[in-house]
Amino acid sequence: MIDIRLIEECRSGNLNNFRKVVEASTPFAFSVAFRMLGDEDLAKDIVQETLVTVWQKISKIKSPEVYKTWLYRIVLNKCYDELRKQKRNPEISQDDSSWAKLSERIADNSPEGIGKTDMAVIISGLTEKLSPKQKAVFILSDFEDMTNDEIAAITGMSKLTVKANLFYARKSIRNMLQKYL
Amino acid sequence: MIMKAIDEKYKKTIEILKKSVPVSDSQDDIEREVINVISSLPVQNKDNFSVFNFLFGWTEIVWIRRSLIMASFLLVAIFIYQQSVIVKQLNWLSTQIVINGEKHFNTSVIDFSGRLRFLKFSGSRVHSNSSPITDDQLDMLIESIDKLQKDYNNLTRIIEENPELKEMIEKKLVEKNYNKVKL
Repeated sequence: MIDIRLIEECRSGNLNNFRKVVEASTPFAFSVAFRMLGDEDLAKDIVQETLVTVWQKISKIKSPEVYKTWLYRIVLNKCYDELRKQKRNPEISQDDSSWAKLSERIADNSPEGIGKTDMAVIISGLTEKLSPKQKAVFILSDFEDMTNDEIAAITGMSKLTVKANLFYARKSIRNMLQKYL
Repeated sequence: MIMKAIDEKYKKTIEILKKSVPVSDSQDDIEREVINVISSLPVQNKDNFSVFNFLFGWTEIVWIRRSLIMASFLLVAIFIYQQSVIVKQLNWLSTQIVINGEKHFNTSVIDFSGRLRFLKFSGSRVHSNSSPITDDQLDMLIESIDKLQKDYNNLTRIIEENPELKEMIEKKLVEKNYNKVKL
């Protein structure tokens, strides 16, 4: 959780407080960027660029309360740009061992998660038929536990569009699960 | 049954992926890099910035941007409409010149050649029934009218200078019942 007072002080140009904001913002910015892109180095670059943009424009946000929404929006916009670039040079490498591990976990009812590399392969396989916006709606809703209102505020879509995109994304992912598992 | 199995797989997959929160191995590197980049950025002059913001800050407001885009489209549409109306009006005006010319052509004989010249230079086309009269034909017509006018003026002058001749002609005109002709 990010302290609103910290944000307020950063808006007046306090770099020391911004260090704390960077520390608090990096984990969830990285989480979204990694799930969107499936590549640790790219996600790291996106987080760095995002935080620099945050420092440059933090004085322009209307109130500190909207900081998190604003941060997610910057991360997603940078991810969209990256995905657009990747669309021109697609690099989807599906590794069967990752799917095998997921099958095992499902069969064992294991409470453990899986590694970053396997997660990247699985998310990229499941969302390969989705547009970047549908992918973002799905990740924010099902992995980041956000409400439709919050997603609408981040993505700039209407609540109805968010619902429609989420419905389509979940349907598509079910189909992909049938294909891979 | 199949649907239920898929739903179950879906739930478990999401659960597993949700538990696997991606954490960067180099979080400290990211933070250090960000602070380095920020420290190397040029310091913004706060006063200039606020003046700039005061003058042009409104361009950042989304609803103003959208309104301005709408307004610009509206202005372009109005401009196109006005242009089409002006072109229409010009076409209408050019046809009006022909109609007025023909009216004068039919009703007046005073300075007939002058009116013909006006028609010629205004670019209007003079129509004889259905076929248009060419520029050469119009020049010939103007020339012959000028000659006729000159002869008429000479004749009038000769008659005016000779009262006997004038009297005789008037008498003849009365005899022949040409009451409309006046010397």
